[in-house]
Amino acid sequence: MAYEGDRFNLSRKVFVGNISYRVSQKRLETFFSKFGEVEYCYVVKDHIKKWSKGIAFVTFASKEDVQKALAATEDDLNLYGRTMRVKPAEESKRVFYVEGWQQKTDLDKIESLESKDSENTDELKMVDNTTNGLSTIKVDDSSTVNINSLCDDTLILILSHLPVLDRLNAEKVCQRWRDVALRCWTYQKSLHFRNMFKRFEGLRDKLLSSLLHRCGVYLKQLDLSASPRLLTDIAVDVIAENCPALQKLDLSGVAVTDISLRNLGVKCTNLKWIALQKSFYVGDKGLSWFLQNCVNLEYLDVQGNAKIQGDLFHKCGPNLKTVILNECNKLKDFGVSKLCYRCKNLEEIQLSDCLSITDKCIRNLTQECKELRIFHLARIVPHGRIEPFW
Amino acid sequence: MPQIKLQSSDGESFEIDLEVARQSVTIKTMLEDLGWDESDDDPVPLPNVNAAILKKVVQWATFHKDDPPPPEDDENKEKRTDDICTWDAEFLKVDQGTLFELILAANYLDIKGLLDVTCKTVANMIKGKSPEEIRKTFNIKNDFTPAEEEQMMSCNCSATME
Repeated sequence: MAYEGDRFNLSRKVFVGNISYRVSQKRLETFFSKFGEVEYCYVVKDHIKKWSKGIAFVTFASKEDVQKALAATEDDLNLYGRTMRVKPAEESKRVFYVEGWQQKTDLDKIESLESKDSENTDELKMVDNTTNGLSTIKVDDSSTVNINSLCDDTLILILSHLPVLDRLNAEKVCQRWRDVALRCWTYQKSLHFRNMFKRFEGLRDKLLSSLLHRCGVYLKQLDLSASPRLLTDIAVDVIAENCPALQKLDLSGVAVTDISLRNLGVKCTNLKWIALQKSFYVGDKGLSWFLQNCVNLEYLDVQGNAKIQGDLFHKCGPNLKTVILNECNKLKDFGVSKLCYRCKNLEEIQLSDCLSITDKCIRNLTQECKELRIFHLARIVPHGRIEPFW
Repeated sequence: MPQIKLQSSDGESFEIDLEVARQSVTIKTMLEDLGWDESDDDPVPLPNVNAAILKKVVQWATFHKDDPPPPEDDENKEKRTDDICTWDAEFLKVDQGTLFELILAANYLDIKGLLDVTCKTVANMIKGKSPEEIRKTFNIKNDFTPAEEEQMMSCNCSATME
């Protein structure tokens, strides 16, 4: 476009800040047309890399339209989720060097420039009312490449190498990083917390909740077994609300309750694998509600549960292949029998340290489950008599 | 071994082994599309890479020319940053400007191995730092409005690692 002198006519021009990096010159021009005819619109780009710097100058055909734009409410200035800032364009100093405006000498002629000093500062200054002073924007950055020169995809690649907690921090660095860091979560298919917390620290409901709000939708696997201590059953509800696609879930050590387990079964129906080790509050009722909904379940681990008797296994789905029931003290013969009758495809069952079962259920197992390949049965006392094994 | 000439943005020519150059998917496809053969003497122009960076890239590619092809990205596989080999770690002891230029070059030339290792190096520079420290390290301007900052504080997705 040819250079015209009145393009610097500041009375018809506004400065626009906080523009989403995705906004093109054309899109911005269309956007501001709602305040009046736009004569010229210029999105400031990185001198070297040609990426938008998130600021622009819009020149209207009439001065009245400038006032309209300046009076616009925040809602009027929302584009791609960002509220743009509109300020009167005021230039002090001089030299606004942008590639394409070849003739620096042309710029010198412009009347509106207040200062005539020929200092070659490649800076554009403008009055920023909100911060009560001059804010300086370097238009012609020095030619050195820095992290801002990288394209979004590369920044995503970098951030995707970070542990999740570091990624939360990266969100707070600046607007661009926030946008990019949020996009990173799309690739998060699995989440665990091993080696993440120092001693006496751990995962809390709130942190889990903010993580799952970001990536829950995409998660296929979630493992809380590394840091279950500080979680409550609220965490289980958060998982139920946010992770519909979950296939593998390890809640070992989390204080799951019957109610939250039911909720989980209703919402996460794709679960194939679940571990509920040491879930002391879960009883027959909760587990039966859960199994009723998760018909695709193939793996169930309730090791160390002290409440389950087994009067629920008729609710199992036919796909169940592995059941770990080690250290379930209250588990009764009829429970195991129900499991045998219901799950003919059972391939693995572990019943070590189940003090209340007898050889009756073992007989049922061998008769009903022809596919059984792995069978753990350590430290079982005959006839249910509990004796210390030392 | 057949040789190929690469020309940097500032006009300097590099003669390197064809096998080394083919690690760059960009160069590889370019040669295939052009039907390049050994008798060709014209240099391949690389307008986005300057001589200093191209020299580094060639150095990296020469060292890694016998590497097995990088594995396909597995979504389920956890990404690690502590598996940078000692030679690479030494090679990447450069100033930030060079490091980011290497990333841009690796991206443009489509050399996955180099892109991965440089990205890991940057990730290691970010790891364990607070947002303010990250800004300081990379000279990034905090462009959040006070309202946004407050909102971030109040939603308290605190990621303290102590």
